[in-house]
Amino acid sequence: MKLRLKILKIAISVIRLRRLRLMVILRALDPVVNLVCWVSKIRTHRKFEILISDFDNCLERSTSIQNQLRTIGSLNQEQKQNLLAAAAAMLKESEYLQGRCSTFAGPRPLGANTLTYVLGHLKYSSTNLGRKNESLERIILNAESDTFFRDVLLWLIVPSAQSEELIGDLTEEYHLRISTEGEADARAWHREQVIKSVGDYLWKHLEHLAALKFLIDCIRWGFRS
Amino acid sequence: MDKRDHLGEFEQLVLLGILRLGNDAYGMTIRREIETRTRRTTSIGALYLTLERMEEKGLIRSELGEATAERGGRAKRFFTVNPSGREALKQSLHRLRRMAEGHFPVPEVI
Repeated sequence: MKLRLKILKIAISVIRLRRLRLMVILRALDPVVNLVCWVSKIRTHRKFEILISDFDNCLERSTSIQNQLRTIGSLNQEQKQNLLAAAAAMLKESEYLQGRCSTFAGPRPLGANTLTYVLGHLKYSSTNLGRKNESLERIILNAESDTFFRDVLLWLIVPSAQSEELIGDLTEEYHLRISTEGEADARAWHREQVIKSVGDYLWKHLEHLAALKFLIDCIRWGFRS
Repeated sequence: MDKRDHLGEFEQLVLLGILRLGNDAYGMTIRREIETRTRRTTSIGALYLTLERMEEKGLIRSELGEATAERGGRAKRFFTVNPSGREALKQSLHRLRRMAEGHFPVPEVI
């Protein structure tokens, strides 16, 4: 139990460090943020193309469903139910696409774009921090569980956007395997999954660091030249 | 077709897994479906990294479901393939079939 409490103290220190990182973001340099806004405009154009393509697909399928709805009287009960379910799914999809439209806006002054990006990032970071804290509270409540140490390790390594769902999936399958394969095999499986997942995420972090180092080296080389 | 819509082998498997599972496609079920059908051991971390990448590309979308006790009070995240994802998968499988023609009997799947 003492070791578990020590680990929890370390986890709380990690949260404090993340809060500090959030404050550093507040003081981000304008040129860096402007550069990111410029890059994001290119990505926005690509996302816009994808959205248009999805709208075209949705329109085609909804036209087909509308034509079928005109002749719904001639269908049997099962066919009617299938058609109505398809129409409901189509409605849901169109609402989702309309939601995606809200990510695109008309031209704005450069300062407004910068402020929107920074505020959006702060909101995203604070939401993720909130999720991270909730996730830690759930792990603390289950401090006596067999997978406690591995859950803490995953909580530390996996980004907050995915850690809750990932830990939840592993926990669910772990309990399922206890009932089908026995506790020892389930524990071995869980351990293997955690080791492989931690390896995957650490490799991704290393790739990001390598890309960042390459970028810094290019900038340094540019200045020297 | 844009270069960024070219799918890797694992991305194809994940998309097919989501399509097969329909409304029940979340991390655990997708992983088990791929493992059962392809006999390929998949880590949940690699799966979530792939799902995140495909969601950023707009090939799939996700929504949170209900939390359950067997998951320690954590919610599930359900995934659905977007029309652009279906199209990218269709093109990818057609390319594979065209390359295999004459060497291996690959049936028409779509």
